[in-house]
Amino acid sequence: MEVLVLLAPLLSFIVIGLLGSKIGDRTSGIIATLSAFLSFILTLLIIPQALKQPIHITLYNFLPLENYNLSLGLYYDPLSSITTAVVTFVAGVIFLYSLGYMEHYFGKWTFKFYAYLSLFLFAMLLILLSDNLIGIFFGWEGVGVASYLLIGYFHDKKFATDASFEAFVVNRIGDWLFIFGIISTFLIFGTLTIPELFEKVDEVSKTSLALATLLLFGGAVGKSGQLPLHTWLPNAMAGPTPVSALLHAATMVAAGVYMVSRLYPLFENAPDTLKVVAVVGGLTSFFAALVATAQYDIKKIIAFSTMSQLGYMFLALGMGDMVGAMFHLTTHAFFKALLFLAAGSVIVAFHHHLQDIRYMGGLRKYMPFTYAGFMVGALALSGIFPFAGFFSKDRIIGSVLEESVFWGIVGLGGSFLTAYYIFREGFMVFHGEERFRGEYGEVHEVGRVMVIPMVVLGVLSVVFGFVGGWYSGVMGDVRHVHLSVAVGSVVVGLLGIGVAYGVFVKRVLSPESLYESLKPVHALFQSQFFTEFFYHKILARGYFNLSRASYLIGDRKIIDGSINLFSFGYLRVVRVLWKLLDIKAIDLFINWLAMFILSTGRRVSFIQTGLINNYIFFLLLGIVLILGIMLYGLNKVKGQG
Amino acid sequence: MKIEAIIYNIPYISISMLIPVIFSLLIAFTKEAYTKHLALISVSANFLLSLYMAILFDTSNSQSLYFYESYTIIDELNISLTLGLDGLSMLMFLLTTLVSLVAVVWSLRDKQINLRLKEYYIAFLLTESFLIGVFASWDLIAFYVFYELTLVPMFFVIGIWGYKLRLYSAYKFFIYIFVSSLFLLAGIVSTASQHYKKFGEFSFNYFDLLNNEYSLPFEIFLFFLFFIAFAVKTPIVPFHTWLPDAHGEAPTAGSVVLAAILLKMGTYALLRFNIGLLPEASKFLFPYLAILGIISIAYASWMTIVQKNIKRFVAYSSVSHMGFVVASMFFLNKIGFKASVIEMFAHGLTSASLFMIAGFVYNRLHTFNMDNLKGSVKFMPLFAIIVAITGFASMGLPGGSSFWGKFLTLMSAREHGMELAIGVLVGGFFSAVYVLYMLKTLFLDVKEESVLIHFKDIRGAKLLAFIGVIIPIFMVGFLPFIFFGFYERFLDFFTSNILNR
Repeated sequence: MEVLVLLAPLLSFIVIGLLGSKIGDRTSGIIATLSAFLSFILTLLIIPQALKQPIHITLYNFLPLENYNLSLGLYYDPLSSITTAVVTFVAGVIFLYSLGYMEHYFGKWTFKFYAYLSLFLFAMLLILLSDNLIGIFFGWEGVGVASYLLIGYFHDKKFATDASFEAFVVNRIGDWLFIFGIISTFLIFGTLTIPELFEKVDEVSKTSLALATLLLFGGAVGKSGQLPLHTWLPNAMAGPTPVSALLHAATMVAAGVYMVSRLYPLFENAPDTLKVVAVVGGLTSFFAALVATAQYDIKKIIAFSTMSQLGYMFLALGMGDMVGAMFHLTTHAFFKALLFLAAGSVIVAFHHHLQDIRYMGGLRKYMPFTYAGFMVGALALSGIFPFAGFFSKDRIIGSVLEESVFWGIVGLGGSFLTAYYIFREGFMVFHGEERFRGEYGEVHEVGRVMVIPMVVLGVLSVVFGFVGGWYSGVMGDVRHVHLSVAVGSVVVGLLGIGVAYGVFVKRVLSPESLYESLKPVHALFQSQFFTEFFYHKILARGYFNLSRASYLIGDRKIIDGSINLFSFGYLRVVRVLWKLLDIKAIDLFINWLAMFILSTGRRVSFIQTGLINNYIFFLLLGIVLILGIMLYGLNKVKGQG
Repeated sequence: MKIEAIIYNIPYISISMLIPVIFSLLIAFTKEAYTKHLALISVSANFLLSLYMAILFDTSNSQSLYFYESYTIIDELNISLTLGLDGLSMLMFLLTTLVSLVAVVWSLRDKQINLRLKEYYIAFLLTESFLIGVFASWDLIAFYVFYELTLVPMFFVIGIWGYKLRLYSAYKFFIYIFVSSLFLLAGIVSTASQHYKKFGEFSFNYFDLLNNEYSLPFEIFLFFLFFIAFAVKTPIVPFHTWLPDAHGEAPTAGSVVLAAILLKMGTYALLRFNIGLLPEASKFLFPYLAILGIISIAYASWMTIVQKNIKRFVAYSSVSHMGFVVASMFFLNKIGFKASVIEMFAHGLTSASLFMIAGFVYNRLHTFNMDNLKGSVKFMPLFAIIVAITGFASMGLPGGSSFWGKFLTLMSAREHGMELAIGVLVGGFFSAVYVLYMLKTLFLDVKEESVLIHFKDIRGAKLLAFIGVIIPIFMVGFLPFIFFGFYERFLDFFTSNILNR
């Protein structure tokens, strides 16, 4: 049963991959959905056991390494089993939704899409359930491949292929750091099995551990889209919306946070690394929130919001509140998926043609379910009581304030921005005048297969917060939030919503005139503080140009050039020698020889008398001469011997 | 130094070397219609034989010489044909028979090969035979002879069945390697005469030469004599420019054999002779050589990404991969050797597959220009899967064959210190970028879909050829213990008794 959790998506991947073209796109989608829910149900069955006593299974050994057997194994403890349940559930719901979302593309080999989704889920489960770091790395890269395929799914669009290329390249930086971290960990501990790492963590030197954890965190930065490896995350929106939801809610980006939490005992023993984690997380949360306020793409705003929320999670991790971070990851999975599904519904309503919120507006009356879903998600994201986000976010802000007032205030400022930008989007899309004309056909509510997932996630986004007490208890770190913090953060959230309402619905301040007066700031935010420009235009293009230059100079000019010069010079020298030696010296000598022989021949020709006795005389003379030489030689040899 | 030799009643290695020769003769004297069948039978039989030999091979004793045979050639100089397989040779031997099989299966349906069929297949069969000789010989003169002989059929393969600039490339290939091999001959004779000085008799036997002692400067001099030859063959930057030319113009199967096995001769010999015979010089030169390997990785990765010709692209990527092999080898620790050997094997598989991809695309589009290849795999789903698997495997993703090599390389570098490890890390990152760039190019859209849509997906013999390398790619990825098992004991022996003797 424990293994089947992992195998269900893998089997679905194989079945769809091999038979997809025969069984059709819809069946493939149903298989993928069922396999995700099967994993979910099995995980639920395992959880009670795992809470009592962690389950550890070794599947098989890869290879012996020094004194350690590199193996593939599964490890169910409260952290991994509960996260697995959440991930499989959210994934199942998103798969169900994608049946409706991708209907537009059925008949165009869409079974591929479901195969990739299953692969994605499988790889994510490998990260969650592996009992050692190599297993995690297998899943880590599997997620990378699957996301590469899914982000570039619309591969007839250039920006989609570019985005997938960028996502993988940036992730590779993180991945190399991660594998380097794994190796450092191995050299420190002599093992990679997670429970064994925890046992030995007190025995090892703190400085080397700090380096190893820092490298591991480098991997998490890449995967979770934190500064400075963040540009791929918003561009990854080029994929279909269910992919974005999956990427941002349950799988890919959550992997970084999960990995740090999984290895938290290691990080706890490396306080310097935790500081770095906190600073990166805090900066990212504020940075992304600022950037999100200036975006116009319906999905990009939510993408930056993910980045910002992941920043919160890393901030919490850095401040020592692992359970708070994981709880926020869980609630975030629900409401972020919900927001993405709502945004996807809007995109479907416009038949996949429109994503710019400036040309939407007034959708409330056409799409009541989507509107409700979006608003529930937005309220949860803003951390308003009693939505799920309130409980998790307040816990984080409470823990952070305890440790450091500065970062607590940054966190609160981020909350204000969060509430502002997400309601800015909500109001611009669903309220106000209709800024679109009928060019995309009639706009109407999406079908049932897409509404049900939103309802399910909506309900969870409301009620899941109340599970917080149980969750903290199971994970073994219960914290109580002060009422003042709770009230403060709700007030800040409401303030953000109020500003957005005032500007975009009541139009107390005209957004257009605000835009005019704040143009440079807006440009700065929209371009992500020019980081994207710097990465794409300067680093990437610079790399290409450098390569080209060094190819032309290094390979073509210097190496090939010197070889050609050598062979050319060689030929020249040989030609000169040929003229000097062959033609002049040797040929002259040969000519001279020929002349000499000819002339002597003429001179000696008197011997050729034609008389036989003369010939015999010469013959005998020759034989005597030769024999004499031979005898002389023989004596010489004998004398020596 | 003496080593246990395990002798079987049947001379397996001679048989596997003779099978291709006999079939070459058969091909030469029968009708052209039977050529393909005979060639296929020959390589298949040899592959099966090698598998059987792998089963006979006892991996727990892999430092010994299995299938030992010895035939005297010149008694006075102690030159003999000594054949045997230890763990390292066994793996290379398996790679040789496998890749030869793949190359012949591929050629069956290659449209490029439409004239002089007999000579073409004879060239490949002879190459296989000589390569087995290279990997199984324990006498340095015999090694040298086989090493040089592999040049001849490959020269003709490039020169006759290649593309436009084939003659130039063939000559460049021949001269580059032939000239560098002269250094090798000088090195071999010097080691043998050093043996004469000490023991009063000539010997070219590897295990006799292990007993030699040199002064450090002389050992370093000898090291360079060997190194130049093998560095050109491998190739290591800056001796690499023959490779893109040779690959760019060679027919697909020629590139496959060239990249997958011929380059391995260089790295195999570096490990066997440079490090094995001259350990002190290797230790003395270790940091420079490791850095040279790292430079190869990074430099060739940079060169790769700007290539317009996809075959040159793959050729440069080979240089970068061989950089990993060389770097990890010269870290001179057991993990490094482990990484090096598995990476040799892995690169044999992925480069074979990459060159077949280039050849397949050429058959469809009649161009190697990357700009014209955009989106070329779009309407061939099966082929697209093969491209993706190969690309990701060659990038070093876990589950593919190159992962263990790269992982262990990094680990062995880390044992020496941060600086080298960071070098490998940076090089490794760049080597991932170009694969992604190639995948992007092949999958990206083109304007003229009408051309692409008529392409038939891959099938038949070519599909079989791909399966022949893709199954081992996954086997190395997921069942690495099988392959590591072959040379685990050998490396124990090598590090303790040869490197640190």
